[in-house]
Amino acid sequence: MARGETVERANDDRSSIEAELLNRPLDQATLNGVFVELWAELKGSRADFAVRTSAAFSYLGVCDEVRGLVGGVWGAAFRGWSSAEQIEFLRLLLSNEMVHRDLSFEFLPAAVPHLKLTAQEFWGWIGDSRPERGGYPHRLPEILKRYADVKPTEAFELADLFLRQPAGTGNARFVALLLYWVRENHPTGDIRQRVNEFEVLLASGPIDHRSILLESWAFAAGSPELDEAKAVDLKRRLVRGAAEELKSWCFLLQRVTLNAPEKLPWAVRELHAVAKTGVAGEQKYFVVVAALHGWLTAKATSPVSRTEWEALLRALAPLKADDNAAWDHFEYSLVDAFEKDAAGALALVALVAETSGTSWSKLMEENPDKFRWWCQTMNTAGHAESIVARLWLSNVRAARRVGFQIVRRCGVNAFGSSSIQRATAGEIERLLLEAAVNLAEYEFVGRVHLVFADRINNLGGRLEEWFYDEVLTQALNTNQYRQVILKGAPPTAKLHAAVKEAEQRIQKSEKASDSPALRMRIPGQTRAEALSMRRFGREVAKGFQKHSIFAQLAHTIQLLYGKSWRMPDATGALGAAANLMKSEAVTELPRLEFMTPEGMRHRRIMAMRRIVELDNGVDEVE
Amino acid sequence: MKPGLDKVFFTAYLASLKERTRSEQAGVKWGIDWVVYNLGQALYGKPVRLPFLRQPDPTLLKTKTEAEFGVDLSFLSSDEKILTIFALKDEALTNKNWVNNGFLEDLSKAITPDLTVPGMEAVTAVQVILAHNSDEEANGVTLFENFVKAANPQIAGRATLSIGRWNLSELVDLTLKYLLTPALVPQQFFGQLNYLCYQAANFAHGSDEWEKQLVPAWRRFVDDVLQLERGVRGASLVPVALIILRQHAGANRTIETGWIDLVEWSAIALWRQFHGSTDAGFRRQVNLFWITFYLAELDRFYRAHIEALNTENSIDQLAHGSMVGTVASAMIAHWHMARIGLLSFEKLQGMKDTTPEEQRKKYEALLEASNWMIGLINANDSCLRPVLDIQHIELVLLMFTLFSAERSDQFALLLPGLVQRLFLRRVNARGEIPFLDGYNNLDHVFEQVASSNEEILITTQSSYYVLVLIELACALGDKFVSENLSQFHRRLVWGATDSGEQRDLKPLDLMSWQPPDDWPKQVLTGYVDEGTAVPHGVFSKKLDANSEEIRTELTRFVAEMRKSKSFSDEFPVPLGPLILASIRHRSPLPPEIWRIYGFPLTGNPASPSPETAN
Repeated sequence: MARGETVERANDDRSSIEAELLNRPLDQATLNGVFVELWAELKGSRADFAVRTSAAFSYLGVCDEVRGLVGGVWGAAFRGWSSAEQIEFLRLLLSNEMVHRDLSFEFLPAAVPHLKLTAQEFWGWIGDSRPERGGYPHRLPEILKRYADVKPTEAFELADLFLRQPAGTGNARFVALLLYWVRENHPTGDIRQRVNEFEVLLASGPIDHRSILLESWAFAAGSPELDEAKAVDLKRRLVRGAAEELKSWCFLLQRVTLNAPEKLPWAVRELHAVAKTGVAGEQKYFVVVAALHGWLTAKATSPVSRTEWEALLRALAPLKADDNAAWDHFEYSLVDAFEKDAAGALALVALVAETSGTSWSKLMEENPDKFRWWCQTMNTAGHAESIVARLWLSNVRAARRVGFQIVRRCGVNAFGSSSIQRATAGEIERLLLEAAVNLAEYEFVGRVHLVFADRINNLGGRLEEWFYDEVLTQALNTNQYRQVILKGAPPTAKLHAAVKEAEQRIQKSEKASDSPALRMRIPGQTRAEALSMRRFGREVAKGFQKHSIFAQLAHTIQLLYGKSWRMPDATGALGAAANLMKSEAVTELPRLEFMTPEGMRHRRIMAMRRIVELDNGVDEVE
Repeated sequence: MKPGLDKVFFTAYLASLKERTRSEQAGVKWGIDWVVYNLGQALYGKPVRLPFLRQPDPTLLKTKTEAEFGVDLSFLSSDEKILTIFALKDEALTNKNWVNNGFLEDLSKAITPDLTVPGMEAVTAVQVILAHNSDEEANGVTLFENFVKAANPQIAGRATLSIGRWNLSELVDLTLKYLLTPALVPQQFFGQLNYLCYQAANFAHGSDEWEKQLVPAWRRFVDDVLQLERGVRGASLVPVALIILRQHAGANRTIETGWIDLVEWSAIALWRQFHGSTDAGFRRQVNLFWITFYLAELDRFYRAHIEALNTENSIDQLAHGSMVGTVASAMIAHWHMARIGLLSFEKLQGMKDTTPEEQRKKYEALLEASNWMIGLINANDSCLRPVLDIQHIELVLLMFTLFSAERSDQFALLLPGLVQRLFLRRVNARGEIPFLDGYNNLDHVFEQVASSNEEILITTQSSYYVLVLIELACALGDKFVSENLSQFHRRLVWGATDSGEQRDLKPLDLMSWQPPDDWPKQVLTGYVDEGTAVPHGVFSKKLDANSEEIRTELTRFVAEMRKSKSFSDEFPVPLGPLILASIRHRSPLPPEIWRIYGFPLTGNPASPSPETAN
């Protein structure tokens, strides 16, 4: 029967086979029967057998039942084959002729218990599996586990072979896993004795070996064997100061936190101890993950309270902008946190913003993808306003800056019922100063001003005087700001008046600038302007390239000649000519930054000084 | 320019001309004939008799003239019916000269032309015009009128005769009306001025073309004029050429300031010649040019434009969204500061103040100039953004302007703001606007701001400007000094904050300068490369040094400089033109010009200046 016909028939029968698979447990006899029938149909061709069975997902769909069926059929085959035949089959799975070779590893775990291969023979195949794909097959851990389950003695040899491989390719992790599996399966007896001996060997070895040993215990986080005493002993013996050891220790503590709630009291104590030593990179990531998990799962009855987890997060601060994995995990955790307990999550946001806000705001400012999902979720869920209000009124500058970034992402404009409307004059002044100092998006500064205008009008006094001076400066500075204010919703009459005044002053300046007394050029000015414009053009182009998703996705081809272009299609034929598309970036240059750069710089310095004063409560003292 | 001023200078020029243009061993004598020739062409048709420049016989001192029969110039109308004859005289029309200097003889011959020569067949009317460019007396005029009455109104029975007279005023009026072109100037300068007029009409003031083509060509033109005619006539021709050029460049949007630019180069050339000249007429003419032409034009210019200049951000606005523009606007602001300052300085120097009325007028004039200056600075931050070290001249002029109007309190208010702005640039050496360029090279500054080079192109290790600023601060009285000098020194010299924080900045080397003995002569010629640099380093090695320590050291330094070399303020040329020359040649001012305020020669510093601050 041709292969196409098989597929056809298989498709026809698919639903009935699926039903049969789902409804009938696959016992050993059935699997043997399937193998015998198939083997006969394929006339004993191992290659056809490999090809046909590996394509099972195509015929029967992707599910565990299919995995079990094919793995069981392979197991039935392995039981009747010699080691050499098994090796031949396994190598066939790696061959280039295998259409579904990646999928074939899905079936192996169920078949591995029936392998007769020694560690050395199996290692040969494992070694061969790598170069083919540049890395170990993704199911290898499961394959190894099944192998270790049935051949614990061989597992030691296999671990030894992995240990001899160069570090940094994941080999260490397999050693730790093999050790963990064998240890778990053999709490006593000879095998356990060998485990102990192997552990002694690792403990007395180099840093890498000690780290592997720690990691093997990390996988045993939920095991009763890993109690406080054991953990402390492991730390004492194995954590001697090397970064790799500390990383494994952090991993162990993270695993304990995630998997063994009853061990939290000593785990959190150890996490605190680690945090105090100053962790970085992956070490910090493990501790952050542990802390966030602890915080998220903490309840009133938990042995470790949220306060303690918050203390741990505080001790880990600040997270750096390049702690990408930790920030990503934080983002996911926040979404989860707001679903479970919005009020508590708000406190968590404030905590991280106040302790790591500088990095957080930088990360959001420089990378539009970071926290996008969270911001969208918060906006949809209606949490954005309360988050921003909480951060804006924080006493910590960094947190206020995170608040600005969130507003940029979420587009919060109204703060009707929030605490914003009860903010004190000092809090408002501090926030507006912060906006003026830190934000290069003048439209956004206008939005912030609109939020507070009414409250400031009500408060009056020195704040009001200062505010309208700031409004005037911003209005003199950019058109973006003026437009936002002019389009703003009432009550903004006073703001409108300030902006109108600025517009009149600008017009007057522009008219005066046309005076015959001011039309002269300065020698060298024209050349310098051309140079400056070229530089500016380059910077705009770079910015466009950086921020345009289209430009990043598309491969850029520089067209040297002509004003249109055409490309060959899939058949190699040239398509119709298309005109060049123009990409443009529009930006407004703030007037005052060029007209009075020293003045604006001085203004920023004074603003920063005033922020510090307000942070120190100078106004309250007054 | 001011209405009526053109008449003054045209009168002076026409009055300075001889009867005929001729070349002598002593040089070319420019004649009224060339002017009348061009007027005649404009008014009366084709010339019959030309005022050719008589080429000299090298063996003769004087040009040998041909027989003229009283006719210096004649023109025939296009229909050939009217013959116009000019009899030219450069002497005054007086009773004595009527006969002695040939008025009668020339007119008698002129009214009897030979109408039988070919080309005159159709002539039906003859008009004879006596054109003279000198004074007249009533008796001379009466003699002329009697002559007119007595003359036969018919010539050869076929032509009528009329006799007219152009005196100097008439000549000036007609010239201004019909001859405001390069054709007015002597023939050898016609081409040069014609081309200059074209350039002035088409090049923007301050553009590369203006600076590299027009300005050098103009300076060469003025030098050529003054070289060829070293007396009054040369000095008189320069303003006339300027007026003609202004007329031709009227459509150029930048000519208002551009013309002042050319006037200034002319003034410097005139004062340079003034320096070595003993010709009283020439010296008088240079003074006239300086006061009545240049300073009067500056005065008119600022009266016309000060409202725009004092409008908020009118100059700052020119930055146009680029740091190049920020630097350019600072240069423009300082251009105006320099000229308002110079104007004020000249009012202080030049206006009489012997009577109470004169004193009042002078004070009002000085107050007005100070108002212009303060208005300019208040409206434009660019005024507090010096870019080059040489702009210490503008700072000194600012001080003079405010002190002379008894407004040193305003100077005391401005200085801390200026220091604050300079400090921000000093500590942020890689910032958008670099600190003062010690080499006074604007190209470097532009390149720096245009390219934002990481590598700083400008060396500002030494500064005369900062020393000048500190010295000027000492003129503001004890209270100001004690409150500010320490801060000025710490911020600008050390580049340190008031709390003593200092980045990786080396302290500035404060630098003074002793001019050479012939500074006036040199500065009128160009950049004064000579003289002696006097570096001092810092006035205190302590960041927290108090003001008195700094002033004591500065006083000692000034005394030492005075001891090592005396400076005479008896200049052969007024100080105003020397300051102008310093500005234009980017040459430093001698410190003794301002030190008198803060460090009186009696030896006691900080004796209260006329109007001490606070």
